[in-house]
Amino acid sequence: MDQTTLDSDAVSASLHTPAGFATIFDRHFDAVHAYLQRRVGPDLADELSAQTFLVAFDKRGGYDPAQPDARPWLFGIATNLLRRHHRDEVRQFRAYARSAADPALDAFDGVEARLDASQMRRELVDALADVPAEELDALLLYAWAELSYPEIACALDIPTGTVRSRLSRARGRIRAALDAGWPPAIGQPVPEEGGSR
Amino acid sequence: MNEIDLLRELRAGLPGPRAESRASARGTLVARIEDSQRPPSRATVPAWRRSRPRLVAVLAAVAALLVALPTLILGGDGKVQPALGQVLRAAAATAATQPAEPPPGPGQYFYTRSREAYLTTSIGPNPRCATNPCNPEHPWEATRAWSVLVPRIRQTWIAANGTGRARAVAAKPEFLTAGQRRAWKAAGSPHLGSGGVEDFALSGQPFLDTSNLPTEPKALRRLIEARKIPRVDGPPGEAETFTLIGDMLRDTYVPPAFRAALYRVVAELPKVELRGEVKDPVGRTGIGVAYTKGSTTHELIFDPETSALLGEREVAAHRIPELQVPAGTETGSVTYLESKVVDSLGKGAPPGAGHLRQSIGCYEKPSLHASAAVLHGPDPIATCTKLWHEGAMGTTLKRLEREGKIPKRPDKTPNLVACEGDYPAVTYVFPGDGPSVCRRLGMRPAADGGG
Repeated sequence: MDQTTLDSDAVSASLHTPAGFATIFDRHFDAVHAYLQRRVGPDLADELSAQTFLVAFDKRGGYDPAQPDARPWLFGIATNLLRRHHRDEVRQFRAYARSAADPALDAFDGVEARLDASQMRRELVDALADVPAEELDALLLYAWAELSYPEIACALDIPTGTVRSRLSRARGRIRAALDAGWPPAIGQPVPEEGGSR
Repeated sequence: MNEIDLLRELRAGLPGPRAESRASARGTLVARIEDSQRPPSRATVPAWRRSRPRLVAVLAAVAALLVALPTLILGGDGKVQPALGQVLRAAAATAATQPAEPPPGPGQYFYTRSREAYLTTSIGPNPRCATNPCNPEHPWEATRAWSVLVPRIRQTWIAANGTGRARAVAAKPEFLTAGQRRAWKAAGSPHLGSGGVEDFALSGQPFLDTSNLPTEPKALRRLIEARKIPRVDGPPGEAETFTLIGDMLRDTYVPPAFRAALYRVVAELPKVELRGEVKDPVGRTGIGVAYTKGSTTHELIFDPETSALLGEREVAAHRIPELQVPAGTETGSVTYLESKVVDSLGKGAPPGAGHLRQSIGCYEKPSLHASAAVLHGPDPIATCTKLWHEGAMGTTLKRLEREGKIPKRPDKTPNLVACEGDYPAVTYVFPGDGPSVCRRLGMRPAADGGG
């Protein structure tokens, strides 16, 4: 794999020599898969990440050559594919909050029960279930995909100012939900410092 | 620590994609790239639309073991077959007359042995290019996908509470064609996992509890179609319903009367096809029923004598370009070889196998949405009572009192009730005066005392 080519050049070249598009796959598949897996579990992530690159290949003619890094574009496609699954995602967050076992991780073979004793984490996932889809996308692209504000703007095709306001609303909702349950009961691991009161 | 840091810790450190997932996704993309070079009229079925081994997701951990892949079928040999409904109703009648095996008792395990084989596809260099340089104008010709079935013998030991052990040993890989074997050699003969052993402790997910489910087919079908049975859940649609019924049949311990009801439900599904007499992957004869969705056909094969599920197959209903396999290729199969109740976990069981790590959820209010503390320990009521005594519970209520949002309440520990829900590893403890609290929340009073 030629690390010196910019993604934008690789995408442009693939308009004439489609096989070159595999470079984009080799560079970014694992990152796209990791993000999808965190949101919907490994099985659906397998499906959606494969689909992301098919859609990307089909739409490569519309790639903005001024974007040297293809990640925001790919995460944008992945986000669109995730939309149909938002209700399932919410159901999984609720089940996690209720049972302390994260259903998104069920597909990782047995080994040990993935029970999570932290009340705070359960409140966190319960709060995530209440975050509207478009705010959740911005929030998780920031926290999990580690995109910058401008990159999120590119991924979601919205102005940077809108990214800022969606993120701040989403963070506010989560803080409010965590405050309501603070401090957690004794007898369980508690994050260091923390505390809203 | 702020909410973004908390969020970053959530689901952090998961393993990366499985090599075969990456290879399959890349193969799909390469096939799409190749197709883009051809006349555009050919319809292709993207691999992601194939009905996936989704049971994995549905059955999750426990079942990880029983994992089964939907199977496919191809089949028909042109013989005139008796009507589907007639055959399935006969299977149902047979099932209903089978003696009910007792479920595993204390210290016992339900043991199963099965053989599974899934097609895995990888990408390597095209061997033809080693002797005849490939056309540089067509760089996609330089790669070649090869597919191989890797059979595994899987054994599981599962106690009534869902704890136990799973062990799988990979056997000799089977290439679909000599050409595919050559492609594998050209890729440097990468290790295919034969001889690999997995052995791990299972915990948590119990057998499906059928004691509260109807055996009247119409009522059962309505429950399944409404996705109202705990852990038997999925998207809507008849294909999914067929898959879910397969999931329940392969759940290791299925009482005969319930099995009979499931066959009657299958008989009512409009798009199910009867395949007649078919051979399962180890050569036993059974009756096949199949459901085709997209490019795959999933077949359940059962023994007409006992109504037991013998196996399942998944077959390409037409050519799957991404996998470079022709129509009729078996892409996955599971064969159920043996099942019985045993008294031990077998030799060399991994540490922790057979032990349930019990969690206790102490809830502030009689609601699953209330704040809760989760602890580990032996006595749910005593553990939560201690928390209430220490003033650790009810903090949300106390804050609301302090802020004047709700009236002051007498400061005392409420009566507590322990309930059991869908996850046997968790006991739920709520404030409340009796077992009716559990029932109101859709749970059962815990076996060891309800407060």
